[in-house]
Amino acid sequence: MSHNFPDEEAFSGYPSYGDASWLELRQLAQRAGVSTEHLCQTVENTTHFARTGKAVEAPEDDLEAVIRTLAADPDFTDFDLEGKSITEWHEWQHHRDEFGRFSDGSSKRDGVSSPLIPTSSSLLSYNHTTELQELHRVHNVLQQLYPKLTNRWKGELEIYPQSQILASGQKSWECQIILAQDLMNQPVKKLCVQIHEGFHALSPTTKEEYARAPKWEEGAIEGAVRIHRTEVARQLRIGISQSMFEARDKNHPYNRYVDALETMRNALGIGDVRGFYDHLMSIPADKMEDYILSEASLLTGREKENFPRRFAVAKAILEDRFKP
Amino acid sequence: MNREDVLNAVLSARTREEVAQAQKMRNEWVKLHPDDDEIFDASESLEMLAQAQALIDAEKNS
Repeated sequence: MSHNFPDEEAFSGYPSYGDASWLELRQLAQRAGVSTEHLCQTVENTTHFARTGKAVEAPEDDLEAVIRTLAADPDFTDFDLEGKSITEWHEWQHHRDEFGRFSDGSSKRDGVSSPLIPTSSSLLSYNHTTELQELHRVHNVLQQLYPKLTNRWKGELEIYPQSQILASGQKSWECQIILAQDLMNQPVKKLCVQIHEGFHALSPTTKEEYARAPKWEEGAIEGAVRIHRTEVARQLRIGISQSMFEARDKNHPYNRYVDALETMRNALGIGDVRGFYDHLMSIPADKMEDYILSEASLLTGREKENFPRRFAVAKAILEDRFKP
Repeated sequence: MNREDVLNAVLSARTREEVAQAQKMRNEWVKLHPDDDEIFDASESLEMLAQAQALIDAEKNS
């Protein structure tokens, strides 16, 4: 089943970057205090220099011009970005040496050193204050989306290596938010986790209710994440395209629970996708089944006839009694 | 123990015994496969469930 909800539209209004590594460069540029274009130009120039030993002349702060210049260079036939646009930057195409510096990919040559190009270890570095401020901004947007729900987040953020917290993110029952440090260089996944854990903080579900129906909660929250994340990204001025979000979703373990809820929504004939998930977000996890069944009691004809079978399969998935 | 076993155990654990067993399997798995993001993503619910059960037990015993 597709996760492209009908009311989701591709993000527009800001540049749509090709993948997370482009966003990563954007963040690094901000940290370095230079424009993204300037950083990328520097990267491209130094990569070009490493490969060819020949400096490239390019207009300042104009990446497109840099790419055009390089693509037109007859002596530089193996350039990675040849014929490509800025939406097609791929990190893996740009070799780094053992210190994380861009290099020509050969172990026999020294990497390119530039004060503007960070080492690979610094890609995972972060500023806790900045991350906390960012999370506050995310929560402000989430609260605007659900003004009637109470945000129980205590305003505390903890960041640990993924290997320590054994998850990508968590909202503790003391209402702290914990993020994996590994997310810090994955802006698309990071935003989805920030929203997901933020929705847990807005959810009225208690620990007792969660223990009774954990995957109803996870399916409803993840469904709401996928509906609202484009708007959240837009408000935060983060350029993430729909295709980047979809790539993140591809192997997500909660897909089966979102699919099960979508089966129920379709079986109920509810066309208002956002309204459906917004309502699920507003009720405790162990009351979601009651809501579905109350809606089903209004069905007639063939929909009423078909509902029990579709509901039973979807419910079995949400209770992990049936593997899709 | 293969990946599917681990993922199913992590996702389907409900009782305290199942949760503990799933955590054990997950911990062994991620030691060998520290980049298995799907297992880490799936563990979010397992950890929330484990914490919820621990807090419920603690409240009962207090």
